[in-house]
Amino acid sequence: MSFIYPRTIKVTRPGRQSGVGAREEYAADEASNETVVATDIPASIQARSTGGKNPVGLPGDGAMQTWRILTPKGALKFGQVKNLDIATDECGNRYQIVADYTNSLGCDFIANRLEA
Amino acid sequence: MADLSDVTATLKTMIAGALYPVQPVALNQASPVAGVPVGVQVGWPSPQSVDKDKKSGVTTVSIYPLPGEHNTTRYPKAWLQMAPFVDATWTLTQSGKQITIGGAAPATYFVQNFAIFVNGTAYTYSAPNGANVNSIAAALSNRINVGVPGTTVAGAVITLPDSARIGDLRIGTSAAVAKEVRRQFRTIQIMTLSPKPEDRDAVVQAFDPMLADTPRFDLPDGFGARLLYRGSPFNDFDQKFGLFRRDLLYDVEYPTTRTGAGTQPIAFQVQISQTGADGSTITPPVSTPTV
Repeated sequence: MSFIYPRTIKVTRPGRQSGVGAREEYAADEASNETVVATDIPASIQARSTGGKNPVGLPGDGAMQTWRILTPKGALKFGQVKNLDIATDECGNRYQIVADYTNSLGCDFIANRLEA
Repeated sequence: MADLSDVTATLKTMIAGALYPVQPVALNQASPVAGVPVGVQVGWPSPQSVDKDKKSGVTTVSIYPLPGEHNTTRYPKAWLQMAPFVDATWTLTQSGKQITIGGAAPATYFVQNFAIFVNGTAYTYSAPNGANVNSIAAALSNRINVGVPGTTVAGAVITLPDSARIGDLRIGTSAAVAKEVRRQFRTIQIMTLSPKPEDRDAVVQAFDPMLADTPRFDLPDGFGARLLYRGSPFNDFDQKFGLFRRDLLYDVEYPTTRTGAGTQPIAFQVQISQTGADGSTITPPVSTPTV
């Protein structure tokens, strides 16, 4: 943990329905089917912008928040984390990565928090 | 118990069976009918799955119910026996004034009811899951002892006093029963996503005629569903993502059912009372015979 990267994330990849013929599993992303891509990655998680409706559509929903997740150079390989992977912080909050990009300071992500 | 999930699961089995008539299916085996590998699933595919299938040359067929539906309930809500009564696994035998519980618990539990008639009265007991001959004998003995004091039990043997008149010994079993509680008409979307337009056409041609030639199909609980073709939207808008899509829309009219266990009658109790002209009931009941 550092002053710039005070948070820790784990990155997982949703399970994929695969195979031919009748596929047994229901076609849906379930947390229990995710595979681990990376763990114990230092990160800075910053609220970026507010806008849009929560797709769950409950009466008590607040506005949807976009988050920016920054990781230090070398913590993740280029291309190791892909769009639609899930980042989970040390508090258990889950973020779906909607844009992954790498710059000279490390891998950065734009993400939406997955909460009802 | 049939419901919407049984409809989609049955359609999945039917479509997969049309594409892969011979089981089991090897990993990434091409459909012998369509000539390309096809995965059939219920639910919307995840983006990752579509991308993976696209790279592997696999066509995805997804089955999903559309939101709207009509209520077409029109049949009486009557219980129907869905299977024959199974044979009892417990036994009741009489020797003099002694009744012995025999047999054993079934491998898979089902309801078995006991009736012992003493002095013209039926004493009944339903063996719960986990019962054994001793527990059944003890339970029946306790009940008989209320009306016939002096009844004792030792292990699986019930001994009645000499004055007791022992009548029929009956064991009733159970059978699966079900009833239709609702009927509805719903459109099911069958979406085919292929990496190439010719794959899409080959896959849809492999199972669409089979569905069109299936006016009715059976659900797992034995009830039937009706299948009607509605339409086939076609689009190439996803080609820039390397996907070619065709939807088949089929209407399915299917029942929602409840299932349970129906038991054989082993004893009847009739209570007869008289009602006066002013609506008052004359008590006590005139008689309460058991049969």
